[in-house]
Amino acid sequence: MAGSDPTSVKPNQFVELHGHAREVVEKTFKFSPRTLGVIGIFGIAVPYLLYQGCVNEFHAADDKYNRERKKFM
Amino acid sequence: MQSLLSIILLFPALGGLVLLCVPNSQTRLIRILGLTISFITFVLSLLLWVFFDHSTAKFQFVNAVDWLPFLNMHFYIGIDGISLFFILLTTFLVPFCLLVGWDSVQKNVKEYFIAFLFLESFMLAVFCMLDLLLFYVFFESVLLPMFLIIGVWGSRERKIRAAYQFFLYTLIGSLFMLLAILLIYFQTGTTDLQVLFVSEFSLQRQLLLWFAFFASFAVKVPMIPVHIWLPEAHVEAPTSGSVILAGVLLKLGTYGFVRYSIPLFPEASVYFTPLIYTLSIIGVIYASLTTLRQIDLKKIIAYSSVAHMGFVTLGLFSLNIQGIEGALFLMLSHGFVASALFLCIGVLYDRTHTRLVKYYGGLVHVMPLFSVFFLIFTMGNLSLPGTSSFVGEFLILVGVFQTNPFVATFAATGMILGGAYSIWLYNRVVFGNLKPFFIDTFMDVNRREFFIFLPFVFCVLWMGFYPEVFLEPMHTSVANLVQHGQWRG
Repeated sequence: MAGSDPTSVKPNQFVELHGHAREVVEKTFKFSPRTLGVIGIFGIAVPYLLYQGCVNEFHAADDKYNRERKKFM
Repeated sequence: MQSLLSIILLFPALGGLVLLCVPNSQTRLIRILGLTISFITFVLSLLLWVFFDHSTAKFQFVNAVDWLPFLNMHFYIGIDGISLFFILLTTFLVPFCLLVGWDSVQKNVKEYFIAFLFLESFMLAVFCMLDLLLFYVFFESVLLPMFLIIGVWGSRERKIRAAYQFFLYTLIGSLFMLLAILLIYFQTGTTDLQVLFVSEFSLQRQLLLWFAFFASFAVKVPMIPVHIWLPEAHVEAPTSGSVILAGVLLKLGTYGFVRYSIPLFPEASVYFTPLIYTLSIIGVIYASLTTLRQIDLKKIIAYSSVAHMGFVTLGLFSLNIQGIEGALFLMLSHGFVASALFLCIGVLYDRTHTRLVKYYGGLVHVMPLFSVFFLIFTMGNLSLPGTSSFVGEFLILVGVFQTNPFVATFAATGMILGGAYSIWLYNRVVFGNLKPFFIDTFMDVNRREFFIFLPFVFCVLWMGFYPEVFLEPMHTSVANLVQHGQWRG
């Protein structure tokens, strides 16, 4: 497609390769201790902490206004 | 006036059938006919706004036709303040989608116009359907024309993969909803939404049904971690496909939450609120950070859409008037802003056939008009005061802060990150030096593109400066929704 008419981009092989590598993440991604650690932290620990923080905030509000604590998942 | 909604619903599909009779060689006639049909539909939908009664939360322009009367199922349509503006957004965007493909679509022109007209009818049906089973039918039927639009008129070889991904993700999610609808039908004996609003389900049943609906809507929104299909679909879809995907299709999921999940399962909605909040915060922050790392223009807007939709789900599950109105307003605003940004990218792609940011720079020197339009929509994307998104995000933060300040604090970081990726994108593309070794011939927006952008600029600024016009019609319906829920006691 590129380069077919006068206004088209003149492709640069380094830019194209970089773009391609970023696109096919499913082929370039490798499981390693580092990536597993990142998945553990940002995929499990952080969401869990956010969830607990959110629930604690709801419970704190219920306690403050002397309401029965809401039940959550 | 009672049958106006039915006419609007059927008009694009009937127009599509008329186009079927036009010979393939008459491309100019097909284009003009298709555009005229979609424009008439838009004008007719404006009448809905004119004759809409703001003072009631009841469904208006109601029409009912027997569909399967022995099963107590009817083709039952109507709109309220929540659905009114999504009808208008849909009919507003479709003529522009057809105009965008005016020159760039050269193969299968007739099929392209027919696909869009049927897609319009299906989307309108989703927004005004008052029968649960038929809602599901149209919610799914939207997949077919969209699958074809991505797969046939997409730009590159990966389009088939993207089309399949889009289709399978949304279909698998929706199967759970079908099972839930069957369960509801066997318990209540009806799929009529108005009857279901006054039906009660046990908490255990609500939890099950809510989760089944959630599986379907979360994919469509899309919420993390089921968002992967969206950037792929956007990148491979033609510009018009991206416009309708960002403008309307993403709203089907959030509309499902506000129309079905929240009013039908109020206790389950409260029960799962922390889950939604957690996924939304992760969506806002993670998608914003991912946006910063993208090098494809379309992926940047796609991931920013995920972040904005995270805001929307936060607002919806704040379960108060400000939050829900803010969410509806942001959905509407995102429909204009994201669509316009995809149009901007379409303008660049039509000329250069690349979307990689590294090839661009210094466009302000050679495309000044384009740079102005792009600036306005970028400011809309980062929620600058005076633009539509600011009103929506502000109302959402007000609503969420009332229920959970912890969540609101994290959500507010999304606005800062939004500013970061939007300004950085604009800076890379428009400012700096030209890169003549990559692109040496430039052409500013032409007359057709100029008049496509103009209504979007008007809407973004109108909603930003005078939001009451849009908030007032939805207020009674939203207040009714909040009062209807049992979470307040």
